[in-house]
Amino acid sequence: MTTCPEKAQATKEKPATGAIVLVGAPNVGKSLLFHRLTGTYATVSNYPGTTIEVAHGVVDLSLLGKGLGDRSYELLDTPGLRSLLPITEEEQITKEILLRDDVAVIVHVVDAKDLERSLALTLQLMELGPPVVLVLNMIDEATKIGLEVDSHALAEKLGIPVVVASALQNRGISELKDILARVLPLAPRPRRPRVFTLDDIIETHRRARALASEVLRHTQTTSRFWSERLSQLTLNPFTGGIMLALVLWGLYEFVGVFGAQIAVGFLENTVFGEYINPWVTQLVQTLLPWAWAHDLLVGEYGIITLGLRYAIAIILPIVTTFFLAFALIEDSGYLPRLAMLIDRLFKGIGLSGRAVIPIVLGFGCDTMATLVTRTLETRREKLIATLLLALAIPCSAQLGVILGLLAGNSLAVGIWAGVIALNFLVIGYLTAKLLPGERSLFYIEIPPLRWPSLSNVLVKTYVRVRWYLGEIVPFFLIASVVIWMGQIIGIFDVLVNALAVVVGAIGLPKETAVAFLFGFFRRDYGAAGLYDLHNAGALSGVTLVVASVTLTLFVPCIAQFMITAKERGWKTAIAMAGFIFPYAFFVGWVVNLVLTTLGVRL
Amino acid sequence: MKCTLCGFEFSEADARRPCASCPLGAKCDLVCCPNCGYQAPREPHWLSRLRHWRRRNGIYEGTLAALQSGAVSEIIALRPRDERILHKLTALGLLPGVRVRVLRRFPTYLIEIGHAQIALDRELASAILVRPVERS
Repeated sequence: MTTCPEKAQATKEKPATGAIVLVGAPNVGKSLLFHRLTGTYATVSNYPGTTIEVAHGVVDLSLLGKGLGDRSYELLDTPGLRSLLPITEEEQITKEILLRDDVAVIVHVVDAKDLERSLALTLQLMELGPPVVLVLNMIDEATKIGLEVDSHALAEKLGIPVVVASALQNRGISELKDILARVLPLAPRPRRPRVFTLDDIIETHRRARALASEVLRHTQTTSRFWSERLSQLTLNPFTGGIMLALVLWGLYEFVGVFGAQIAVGFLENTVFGEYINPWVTQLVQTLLPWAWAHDLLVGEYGIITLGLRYAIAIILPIVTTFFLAFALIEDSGYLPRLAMLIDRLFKGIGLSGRAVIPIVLGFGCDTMATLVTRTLETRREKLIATLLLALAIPCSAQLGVILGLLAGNSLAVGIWAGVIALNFLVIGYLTAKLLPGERSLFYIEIPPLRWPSLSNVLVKTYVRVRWYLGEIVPFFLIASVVIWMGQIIGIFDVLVNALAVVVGAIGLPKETAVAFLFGFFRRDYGAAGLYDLHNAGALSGVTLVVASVTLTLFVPCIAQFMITAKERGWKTAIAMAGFIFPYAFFVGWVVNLVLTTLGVRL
Repeated sequence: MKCTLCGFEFSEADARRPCASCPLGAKCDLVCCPNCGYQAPREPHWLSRLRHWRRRNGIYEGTLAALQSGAVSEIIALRPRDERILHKLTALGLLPGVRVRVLRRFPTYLIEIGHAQIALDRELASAILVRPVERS
């Protein structure tokens, strides 16, 4: 999920003279190694395929290498690649980078435990021309399961430098730098652009297996009994289901209760309500004599009293807790297991198990998730996932606010969740039926369960939250200004009145029209608007459920819409919005009708 | 049905006629395998229906998809429906000569290859032809 590429600023005085490319299968730790080499952060997780864009960084080797002069090299972290016959879009990206002219060194990172299958790619890379350095990463895990690799013999047989490393424990990094400093000054070898046929690939695999058997040695196998046992429990549909329920419950307690209620309540009522708002209002009123400025800054929709308050007091705690929980889940290696459990169900809606990642991430931020749909293989799957994200997946801020709204009323939460889940499945099923295209295949490597490293979790959460805030705070502030201007000109009232008709038709009070209009700017902004209405006592019972359902299904926020247009094309994005808009109100109308007819009291 | 001795699959219409000298004659419930001549009771209908259902769903005997969990086997060939599948299997290192162990069949296939575990759907699993290996 390097959607927020912490693009390292290239050192200005030293233009990069060449590129060092990190390649390797998914989930072997390229991104962490990248981080160790450059000090720059690329998203690291225990989930294959989290790097979807190339991250750039600069390695300064001038202190180490003799003869390097003041040349500096660009380091590229690439999406996972298993063989030089690419399958997915990201693999294609990596392959294109490898064929660039300025590639000075290829660093092939492999999982030492999985040497047998990984060496084939080393052999293929060695035929491309640029020198190759092999990094046997995760050596600590290999040692733990009693696997020994004779790296000297391997280096001799391959004829390339081999480094034993553990990026997690910071082992082997300086050796790698030394080797790079030694290899880089060598005259560039001629490039041998070469096309691999399938038979070539199979041949490299055969040679790789023979090589691996010569350098690998099993010492006594230390028992991984308990972790293996737990791992199998997560994969069993029955126990796995129970665990999923536990994970979801934990997520709800942490994000929905702690984040959305306790933390929001504190920031909202105490920090903003008692301190910031009165203080700023007073300050503005004494300093600025104009009434319009009061409205703009501290009025009902003021930049500070509304925009900033929504961003900091309501959205920030929810998003932070979600991303923290997500990072923990991601690094433990749970997600691929979930993908496996859910594959059958997802096949029914035209997706494959792989789609759980964008879908689960969508509960954090749908915009980010829409970007991640790139990791899916077929166009059809990408399209269905994008539509479902836009329609039925509430982002964490929205989710938090809605759960906060419905809190204490488990029947209302149940109805809301049921309606949304039903829509997810039904629309997915229908889209899958309607869209032509090949069925998606499912395969995923199941990494071992690992203890998440605290620093990695914290850094990852920080990077994501910063990306999110960088994205939303301007939106919130601009939204405040637009609404303020709209109020002055009167357009805002016209729109609200027009929406009020629709909103009234599904049995909601007229004031909710404002919340829906906000929903255009940000999904969460709209939900936060409902929150205010609820506090004012304007919503209750059935209307609250109807409003929550409609708002959840309602159009994606502007950012998500823009990304959808960028990834899937304008026509698709507009068609999706054109479908979702009336559909959300239609479902709201049906829910209202059913609940009032049945006389449900909430 | 499938011969219980040699594993040859045949339809009942192809089975050998009942032995001429036997007094039971046509009333005999045994069928003879046209391959090895072994006599076995007629297969119940639900069993042949099950076999038919499995085949329609792509679970062919001799492929990874038909293996029981816990079974260790060696890949002998890949028989993919199209090139896309072939590329995937190759990239995953699922190639002739490689040993795999089936860990789970449900909800999806989970196999162990070396120290790695890979989940596969049935479509991919049924493209892999395997032969059983004695556990060492």
